[in-house]
Amino acid sequence: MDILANIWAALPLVFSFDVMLAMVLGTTVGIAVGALPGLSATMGIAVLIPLTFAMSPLVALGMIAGIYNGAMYGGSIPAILLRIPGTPAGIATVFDGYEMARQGRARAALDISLTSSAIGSAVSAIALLLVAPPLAAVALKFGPADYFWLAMFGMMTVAVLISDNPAKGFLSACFGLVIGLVGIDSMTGTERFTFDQLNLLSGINIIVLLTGLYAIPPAVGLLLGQSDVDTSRLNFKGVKERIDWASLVPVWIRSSAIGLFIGLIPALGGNVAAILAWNEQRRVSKSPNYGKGAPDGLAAPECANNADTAATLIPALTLGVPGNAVAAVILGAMLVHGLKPGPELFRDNATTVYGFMLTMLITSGLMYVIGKLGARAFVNVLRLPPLLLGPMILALTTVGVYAVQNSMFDVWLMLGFGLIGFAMERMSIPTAPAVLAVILGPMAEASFRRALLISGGEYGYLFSSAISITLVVLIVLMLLTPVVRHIRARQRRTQEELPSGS
Amino acid sequence: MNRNLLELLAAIFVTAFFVYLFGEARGYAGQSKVMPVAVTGLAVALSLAWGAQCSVALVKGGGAAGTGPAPFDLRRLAIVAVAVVVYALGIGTLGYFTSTIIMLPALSISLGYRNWLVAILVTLGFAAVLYAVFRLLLSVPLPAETLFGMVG
Amino acid sequence: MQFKTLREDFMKKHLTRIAAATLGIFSATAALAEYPERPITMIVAYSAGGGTDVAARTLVPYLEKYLGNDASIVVSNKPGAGGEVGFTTLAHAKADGYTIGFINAPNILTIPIQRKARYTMEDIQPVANVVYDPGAFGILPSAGIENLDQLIAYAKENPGKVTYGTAGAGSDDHLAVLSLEREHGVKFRHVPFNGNADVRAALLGGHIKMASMNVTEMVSDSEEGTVIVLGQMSKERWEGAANIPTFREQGYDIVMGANRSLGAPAGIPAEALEKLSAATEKAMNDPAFLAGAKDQGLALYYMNAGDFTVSLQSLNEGYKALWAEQPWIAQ
Repeated sequence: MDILANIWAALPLVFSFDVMLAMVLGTTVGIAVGALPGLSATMGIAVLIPLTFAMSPLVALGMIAGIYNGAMYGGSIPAILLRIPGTPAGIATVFDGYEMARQGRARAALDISLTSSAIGSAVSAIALLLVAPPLAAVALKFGPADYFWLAMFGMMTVAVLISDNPAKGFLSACFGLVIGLVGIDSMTGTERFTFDQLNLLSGINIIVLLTGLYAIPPAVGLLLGQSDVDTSRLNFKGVKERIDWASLVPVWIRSSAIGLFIGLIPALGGNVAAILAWNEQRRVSKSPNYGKGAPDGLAAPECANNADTAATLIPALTLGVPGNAVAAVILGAMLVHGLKPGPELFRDNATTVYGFMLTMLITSGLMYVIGKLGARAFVNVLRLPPLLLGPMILALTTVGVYAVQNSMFDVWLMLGFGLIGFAMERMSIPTAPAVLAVILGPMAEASFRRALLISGGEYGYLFSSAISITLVVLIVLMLLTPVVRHIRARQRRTQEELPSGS
Repeated sequence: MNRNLLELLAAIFVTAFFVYLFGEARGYAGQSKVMPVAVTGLAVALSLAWGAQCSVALVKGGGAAGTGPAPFDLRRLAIVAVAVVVYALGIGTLGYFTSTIIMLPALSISLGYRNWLVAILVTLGFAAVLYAVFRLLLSVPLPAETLFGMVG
Repeated sequence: MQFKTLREDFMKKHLTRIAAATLGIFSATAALAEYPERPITMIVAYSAGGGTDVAARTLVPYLEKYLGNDASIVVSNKPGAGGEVGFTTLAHAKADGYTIGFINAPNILTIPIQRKARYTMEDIQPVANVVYDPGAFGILPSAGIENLDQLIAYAKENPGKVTYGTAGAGSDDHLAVLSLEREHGVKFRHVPFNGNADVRAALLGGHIKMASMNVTEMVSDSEEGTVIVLGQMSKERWEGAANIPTFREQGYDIVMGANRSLGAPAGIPAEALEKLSAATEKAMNDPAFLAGAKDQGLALYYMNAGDFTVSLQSLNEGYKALWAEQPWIAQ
């Protein structure tokens, strides 16, 4: 077979000393970058591109593969241990991961997250290696109307995240939607909610919002003496919790599939994949404590956000359509080395491109090894006195956020969001809906308007493709589930003829 | 302070904020206007509902603390807030590393940490790691260091 | 000609400075003769890893080489507001030759036209043009349209039915279509996207009829036969796409595209300006740089400070006229 022959030809190149070293370095840097709040894979790869000018293409790409895979996993370490997601894709990890750590099961949580991430990455890389071209076609099938429904489908999960008080939950979502609106409206050029601030014209970076809402309140909590993780229980020498790995296999299969699919579709990313996988797992989970420290609630998002990595490269490499910011930066790095994405890449540079895809697979294994060591090192950080750890998190988030756009304005904005996040936490307003809304809101608005522009104002266009109709059906089903459940419960109650005394 | 009263005040503030944004949104042209108006309008309604909830709870339950997070020391929060603002201002004037080296021990000690030696060692080690990552590895152009010219 | 006067102006300044130095009046001038004597900051108004950033970082080592004096250039990314953050930083930087930056036309020209910008073109001294990427229209082969005449004929039969994607309202892609509409009395339907990658995906997926992009972004699709490029909006065919006819060849007088160029704050010392402009020319003739640029598919087009200033001015007049007649964004 053609593909196997190409893989065979690329193998010796990949296992050369230089490339192996680059992959080890890349994975290490990636895990670190992912674990540090404020830094992301996009930035890690972008700043390393100039360094790769002098390297041979495969060395550079091996390093990039390591960073990409490593960063997706790295984000889960602080999410579990400190309730601070290192990357946007780590929000869903906080739900069950941090709860596990609070219950003194940090070690088990880190193991589950690492294993799930490695499996997700590996599945994704294998899909990239073997079936990239047919899958790539999916990416082009999605039109503006489909994107709109996809965004709406994602927004449905907000309903799950709103806790017990709908007013507060939806208010948080509205806050996120407003944040997403800030900046120049790319459809018309109108400035919205910019208050004549130059720094707001291009909108608010998701990293700034995420770091403010998620990293500052825990840091302040540490300083106020309110950390609820008992660091004395983070003992790696103690009795190992037995993890029921077999029960996680179906979780991995389902979440890998979700991650792969989301990765294929341009404009979505690991963050959406993780939340959708967590939500889907919630639907089928048998864990009584789902959302409060269930292992499958941790495995699902971690597996999905890593299954997204190589999948985003499928449309990127085969069609030159980058699915997200990281893929766009990777395409930039490849161009530097004269590797133009598209069919010609697979024709003219088959060895290099198959080598790159192999490094995606190998780094998922390397990630497992390095991650094991890295998580232990990170646990030691937690043993620092809270009064020192708090200021360190503040300093780290500050420099991380500054580095996103080299802007002090962003630092102030982050601190402002930190204050809001702190207040929201005190008043039991959930923050997750806000973050989800920031990601999906602009996508929903722009694709809705784009769809209407294409159709010339015909609303029928929104229901004209098979993908749209499928998504609409799914949304309706999701909306109806609680209603049906409610009616059934009521019927049961009437059948049992309970006295209606309330 | 009474939790319900505090939330009511917050709800009033949030309502006012979204009412202001709503007014702003109404001025936008054509298609750009729909989403902002809808979102801020919805937000106003929701924050009013929130305020109503708080008022009802206030009338009914008086000052019941509810199941909110543990109370905290307001003085400590004030110290943290001041330290963070001074730190951020310091980055622009003194430079990032200088400010960090000052802020880290100062904040922990003012909040009651007593082991000076550990504080200073951790600070220096941390600054060295940050320098290695951000200056040497990522070469991020941080604001210039005025005091320690040799670090910048 | 303006170019000539500019040049004479440089010479005059240059001569007076030399004279002054020999007289020993300005000690600082002697130091300036050794420009650059400390690191130069290059502001890139777009994110690290983007097209402009990668092009800038590819150029930097060669620019350092030809500036001599162990010159060192540090790239500083100041992204935001479609480039306005970076342009403003550049415009307000100290005009000592130690802050330069990449300026991207038409953005740098259109931003002050379409909104209250925080800089004006008077604050910017063009140094040299590096890249000129002509605009181009792409269309799927299944549409059965192969040249501009057929496109115009089709659009006249189906007014307002031809959807075209651009990288946003006010981008060069958008302005190109507006000029075509204005000059040939046709009407297309604009569908703005968030970037060129999205436009290309929407075209390949058949969600829009036509893509207005830059020719370098479509040349490989054109070679693969997946997209038909109707024409490129340059004066002469770009050598990387020599088989794609220009708009002018087809009788449509539209020249538009995206420039990536070097600029500096207005009023930088004449010697620094000359050295930078000359070093850019030499760098752009360096075989190693040319090879790198070819790998990246950069459409190189050198213009020295004088020519480039004139070209920017005429572009600016054109955009102002277009804006006065038909504002391209909602007011």
